[in-house]
Amino acid sequence: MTRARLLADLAALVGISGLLAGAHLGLRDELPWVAVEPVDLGSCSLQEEGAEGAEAPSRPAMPTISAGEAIALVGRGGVTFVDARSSERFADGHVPGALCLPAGDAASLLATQSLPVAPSDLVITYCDGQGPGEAEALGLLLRERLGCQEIRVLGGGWEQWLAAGGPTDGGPDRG
Amino acid sequence: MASARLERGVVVGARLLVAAVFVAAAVPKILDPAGFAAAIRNYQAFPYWSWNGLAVGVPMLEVVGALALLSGWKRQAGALLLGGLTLAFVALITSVIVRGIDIGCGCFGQSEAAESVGWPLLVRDLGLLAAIVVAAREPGPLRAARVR
Repeated sequence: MTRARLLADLAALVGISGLLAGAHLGLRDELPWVAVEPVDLGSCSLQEEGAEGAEAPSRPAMPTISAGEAIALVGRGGVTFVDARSSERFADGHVPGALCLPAGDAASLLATQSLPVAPSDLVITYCDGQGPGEAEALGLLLRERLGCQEIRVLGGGWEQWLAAGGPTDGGPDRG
Repeated sequence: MASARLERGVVVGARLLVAAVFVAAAVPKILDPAGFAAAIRNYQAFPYWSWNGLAVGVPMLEVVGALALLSGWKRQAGALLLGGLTLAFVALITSVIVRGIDIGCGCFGQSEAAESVGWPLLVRDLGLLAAIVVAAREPGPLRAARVR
């Protein structure tokens, strides 16, 4: 069998598969099976600006975790902290081992990059502390895109973390 | 003659095994595309817009490739298709191991007892690849026996 014939046969099989897949799609009407709509997360400072923050209540609530409880989880296996603030604020200081995933860029970043987060991980998202809105929305996005089910929003955010004496990485003190 | 029969038996056995594995893998995915789409998402290797398409397309490729291999109609192309899919699975599994992500493979649908992605799965898929290579062979000595 020549290579051209083999490739033609292969194309025929792929074409048949495509037709069957199309027929399968046509028989179902509950698309999308996995949510693919990009989530507009805005940024951590959205709530400070006020006006557009009015849409936040439409998002379902995510469970929160207190700073005290979260501090006890730093460095534990299967626990991932995700920092929803800007990369500049992340560089100024963050929870040790936290991933930097700025809320405003999260949807596009997750579409093109993978995160070292397993679906079984406990994921704790946090923002500055004005409210849980963007950290909560980021948690929802992580649930959609990575399949994470155990997600908590850090109550009081970064401000509460510092107030509770939580350990930090980065920032000017580390030189 | 005995060796010809043995070779034919091995090749036919490999075809049956490979076809059975791929059909068994495809049916649960066809019946539950949402579950398979979620499994694809968990690999964190594909853009989000491709999840649903892959969830519908991959099982069909598996079924069509398996039927081609088993029936003899475009058998070589069927083997090439299944071999390509298996190579892709091997690459995916390797990338998951390297990235240290703990996920279920979704190979036979999203059952409770879904196998985790790891070295055993990689070895199994490499074995499947070897079986596909055997299944793609044409047992020539059998034709010689018929002529005689």
